[in-house]
Amino acid sequence: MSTENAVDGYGALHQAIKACGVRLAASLPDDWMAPLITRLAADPEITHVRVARESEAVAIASGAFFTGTRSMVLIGATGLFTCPGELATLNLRHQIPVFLLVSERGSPDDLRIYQEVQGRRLKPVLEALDFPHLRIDSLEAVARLPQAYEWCRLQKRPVVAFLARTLLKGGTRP
Amino acid sequence: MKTRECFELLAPYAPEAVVVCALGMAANEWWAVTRSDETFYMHGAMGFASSFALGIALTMPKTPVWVLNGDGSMCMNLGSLLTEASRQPDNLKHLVVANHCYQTVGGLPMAGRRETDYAAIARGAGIREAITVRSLDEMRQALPRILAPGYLLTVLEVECESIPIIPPPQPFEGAEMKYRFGRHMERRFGVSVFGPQGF
Repeated sequence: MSTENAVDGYGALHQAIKACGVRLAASLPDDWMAPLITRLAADPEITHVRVARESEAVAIASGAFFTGTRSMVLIGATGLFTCPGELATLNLRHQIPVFLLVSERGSPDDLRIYQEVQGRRLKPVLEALDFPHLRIDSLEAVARLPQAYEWCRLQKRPVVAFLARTLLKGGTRP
Repeated sequence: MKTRECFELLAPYAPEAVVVCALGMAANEWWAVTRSDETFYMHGAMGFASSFALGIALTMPKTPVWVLNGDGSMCMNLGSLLTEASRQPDNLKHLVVANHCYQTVGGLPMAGRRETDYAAIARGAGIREAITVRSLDEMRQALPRILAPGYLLTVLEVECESIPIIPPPQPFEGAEMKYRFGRHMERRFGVSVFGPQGF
């Protein structure tokens, strides 16, 4: 894969997550998220929990909220598609904020056929549930992550930050 | 063994712990025994109370954390046993009330058999300490182990009782559940769950 247009998105994201004050990260990888998850797992200041299903990560982060611990969920778009029930009946019902970093699979520059439906329908599903989402596609947007994290706490519900392919993989396709 | 009798044996020791209840029968019976508003009664996300409790246990490692789960809930998220097995925090006690039915919706039977061995499933997932309690006498004998430090999953084999279909009995829910539990955590442990503006 050419990385001529790539930025160090993973490194910048790692630092921005720490700037959010995150001390617990719960994750289930897809291939875009894996390098970031590997970084967090190696960070001695962050408790990292590998889960078997994405909604576990949502619930673990929600429990950590009640100890005053800042947490984050890192999953792929396909995994997020499995979570709306738990996000609605745990986080929306009890007004528990949870911040999710999610690969923006199925975007127009992601030519994997098995990601196409996620790209076309995931954001409308989030909007139907009134879960705010934003897009992180540049280092400038990464730098605003701590502000978005604070906004999530104020929202008292799930907030999804989609990580764009251009940030993680550079501007050219494999 | 009835769930309530089992909880009555546990309840005197609960003030030492942070307690999380899965929705349904576990939450309803714990409320009936304790009337505790310092417990988090999960009203949704069936199958994920144990994950929620794991998040508390990992971030408050010196505090005993109990999750009162149901077998219907646990079986909705059996993969969580692998996650739990990978961590097995010393301060977490996972108690599974196993009646092999969906009691709060009328007692319809679960998939599986009465002989389904949840402790064996847990051990198969990699959990080192998983036991089954089948009577109140066994429960009394198991209490010192349940209360001792160290991760433990305990399956409480109880009767499927014939009760009317009832809604959650706690007279609070949703956001009030969050604020009652969160304020309790703040008072008890001196942590800051909510910011200066209350969110």
